[in-house]
Amino acid sequence: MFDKFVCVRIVKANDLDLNLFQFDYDLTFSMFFMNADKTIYGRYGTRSSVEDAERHMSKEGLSQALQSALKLHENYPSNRSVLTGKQPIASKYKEPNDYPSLRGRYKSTLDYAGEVTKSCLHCHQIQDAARQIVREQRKPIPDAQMYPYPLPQAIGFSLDPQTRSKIKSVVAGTVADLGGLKPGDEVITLGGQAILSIADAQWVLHHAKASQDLAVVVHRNGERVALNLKLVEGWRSQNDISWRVSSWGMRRIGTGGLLLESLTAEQRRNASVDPSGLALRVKHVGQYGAHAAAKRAGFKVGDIIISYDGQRSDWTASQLLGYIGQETVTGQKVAVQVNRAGQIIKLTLPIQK
Amino acid sequence: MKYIFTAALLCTLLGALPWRAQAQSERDKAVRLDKQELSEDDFWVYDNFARAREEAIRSKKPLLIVFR
Repeated sequence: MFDKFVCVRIVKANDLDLNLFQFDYDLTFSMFFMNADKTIYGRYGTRSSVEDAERHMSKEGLSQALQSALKLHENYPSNRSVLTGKQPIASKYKEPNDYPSLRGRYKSTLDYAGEVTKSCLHCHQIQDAARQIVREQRKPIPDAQMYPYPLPQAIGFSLDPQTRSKIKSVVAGTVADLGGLKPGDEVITLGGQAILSIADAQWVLHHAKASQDLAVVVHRNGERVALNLKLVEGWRSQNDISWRVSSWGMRRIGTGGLLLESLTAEQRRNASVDPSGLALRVKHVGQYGAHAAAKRAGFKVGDIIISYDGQRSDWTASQLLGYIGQETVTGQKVAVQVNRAGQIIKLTLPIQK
Repeated sequence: MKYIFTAALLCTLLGALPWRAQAQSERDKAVRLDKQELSEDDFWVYDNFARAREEAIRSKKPLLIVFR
């Protein structure tokens, strides 16, 4: 099927056109289906963990996405209305080098004769650079920057990666469930946009507001069914950002290099920590430079963080990173309480650049 | 198809390696090899969106753009 496309591999982001190629910059693999006039038909490529990078991708799913892209191409431009929302938003920065923290650091070409990978700007650096601007302004990182490209799981449903857009599961009581989505439904449009892949659904959610109605059309038992999803404040923070390369920066900034993991109910009981409060176990303590700030502050592997900056909510590591990005400022000192083998210990973390 | 999934696999494997000189050297080699393979492949346009776009205009085919 690839022979029905003109196929191009882009291997560097050094001079990436940010007014055209807008996607999840934490990915190591991403695809666009596009008309020669630069109208985007769809995106492909999704990731949600460090370990299992291909969990949300498959040859079958890609094949169906390609078929759908070809159909959109056949019917173009009469189908423009379902493509409008898929198009990029005007960016203040035309290419990565325009970001202050990246300016002058990378040439537009790669040094194939030398250290070629070092000459390559990595896509996640674009995300880092965008966040840095906000941090330097001492403002909260906006939701879409803090929790980019949410998976549909953030609102309670998953898409089967073996298909184009078939719903695999719906969690009871979630936005998706309350809106009437059911396993087996095939999502045709979301927010009025044709859905070719999980990445397309993520694009819609990335640009959705904190609170809004989101129209969805599904095929169910051969019929077209129109539904409405009501996004409610806080939905975006359900999106796990802890796996993202761009979260390494937030980890350095607010935890001084700690890698944290949630405790199970049993682990909480065994450690005698609040069953419904904050309980994040230190899995790893960074050893070098700014990533060793927690080590210098006295943190140890196995410590259980039970209070951070006075906050005791039952956060995931991802939600703690969100708090750091949105509620702290550089230079601040944060009081942290840890449970170390049953003893409560008070420590202080610096909020770093 | 094989190039895409090989590339994805390569990225995953390379991404998991620690940042050491050995790994750096391996990555450099992999990138050069990748360039060589795709440059010799008539089917893929290597790292040249403008050329791919011209070809899409001429052939009236859609573009498939892979980032990795």
